[in-house]
Amino acid sequence: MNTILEVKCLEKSYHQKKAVNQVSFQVSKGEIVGIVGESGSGKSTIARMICRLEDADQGNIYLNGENITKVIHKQQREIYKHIQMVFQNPKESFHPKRKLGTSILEGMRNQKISKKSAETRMYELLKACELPLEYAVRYPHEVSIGECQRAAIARALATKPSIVIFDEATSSLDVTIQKQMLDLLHHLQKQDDLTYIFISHDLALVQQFCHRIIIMKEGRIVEEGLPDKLINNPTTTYTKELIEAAFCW
Amino acid sequence: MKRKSKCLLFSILAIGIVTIALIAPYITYYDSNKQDLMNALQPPSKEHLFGTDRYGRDMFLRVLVGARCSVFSTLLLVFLSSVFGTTIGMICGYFEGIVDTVIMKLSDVFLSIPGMVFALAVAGVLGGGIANAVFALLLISWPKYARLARSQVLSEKRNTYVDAAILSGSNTIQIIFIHILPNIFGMVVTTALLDIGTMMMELAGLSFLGLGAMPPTAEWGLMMSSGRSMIQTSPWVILAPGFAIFITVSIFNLLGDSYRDWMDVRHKEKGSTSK
Repeated sequence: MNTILEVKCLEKSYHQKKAVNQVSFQVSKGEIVGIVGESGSGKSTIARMICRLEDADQGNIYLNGENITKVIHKQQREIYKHIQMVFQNPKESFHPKRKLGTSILEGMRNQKISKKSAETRMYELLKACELPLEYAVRYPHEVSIGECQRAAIARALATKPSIVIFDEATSSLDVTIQKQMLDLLHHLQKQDDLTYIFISHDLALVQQFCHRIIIMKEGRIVEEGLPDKLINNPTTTYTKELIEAAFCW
Repeated sequence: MKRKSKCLLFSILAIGIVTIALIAPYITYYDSNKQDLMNALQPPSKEHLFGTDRYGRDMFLRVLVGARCSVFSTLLLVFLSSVFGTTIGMICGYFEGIVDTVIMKLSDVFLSIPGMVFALAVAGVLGGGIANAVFALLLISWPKYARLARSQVLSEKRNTYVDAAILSGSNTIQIIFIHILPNIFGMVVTTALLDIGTMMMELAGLSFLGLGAMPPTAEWGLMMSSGRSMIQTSPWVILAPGFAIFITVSIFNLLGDSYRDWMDVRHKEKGSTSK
């Protein structure tokens, strides 16, 4: 399979404490990779470094074979045509004083796509995300959290990225909406052959949704493998503990 | 709703004052600087509503015409200091690092000197004149806005919507001015509105001390200064411009207060809706 994203020996420290320590992994095109771990295990930091929202202290990130670890300014903005991210709290991820439609259009307008084409694409995305078209003129505080997360997905897909990172994107949703959201993400992934990096602390959810799972603890990868294999034959104590916690019901 | 009406009422009153300042020179039938020594120091009457000064000039007319200099120079001063200070503060807050350290240390220097004393020194060096007085006060007033904007940007830029803006390919200028500025704008406007009264007093103070507007310009602070020796014999000479300053400062202060109250309520309402 084609490697679309490669992370090599990535490191990041905050106040002399290593949040991410020698992390390496590859992601193939069309793959859904789940990153699981407790709070503070470095999952979100990795996502933020891949998206260039944080600088890596050491290591390299390759997107389609190109090193993007230290890209800035125009080159940094270029990578957002290929990588997008959906955040945990959808309401906070939208500008509170801008309509949802304006935020969805923004990425396309920054890529110099004409207003008309961008609007057409926005309405297609709202439809694909099962949102009424009039939501384009609503403000974030005027919609529910689930609807807002759908709008966030529409925004992430607006620039037709090949990789979408979901950073605990379903954690703030209730179970029924979470299920609807995962169905929607599955549908969109198959439709556009998207690559997903799905960050969560919920092992059970990741097992159902992902093609491959990476388990992280204290900034390091402790285990990696196919979901069923990893759940049935865990090799580390930490993975066993996670499994016990996830499936204790 | 009550707070909105209050804000609207004071906005109308403030607009009224600005309108008077704007049109006063064109609607008055006397030249406000024309001297008539035969009518010097006349008490208030039907002919001269606020009396006349020592040169026989109509005080009512001079108070109306003086509004232009006093109000517009104050508005210009507040506008310049808020725009300059906010821009500097936003840049410091967003980029942090060495630029932030240097500019904030500089603002600390300005803040550590008593404002009016510093303005007096600057105006003294530059000489009299309303433009120099505005410049002197601008030097002491921008750090307040810079500090406010910096602290607001430091907290705003950690919000996820800023990360989302970066991911949408927005450049730094777009992020600072399109995404962050609208979220700190209310705070800056409230501070600026509350500052109008203070700045008007300080500008009048400099004119009173002979470092602001120059005679024969009709300016409220200068009019009070020239009438101070007659406070016991002809109190209207000092009371008329003093009253004008009092009314104008009160209206702008009340406008600032009511705008802040209204913004607080809107903020809380939006917060509760999103929950």
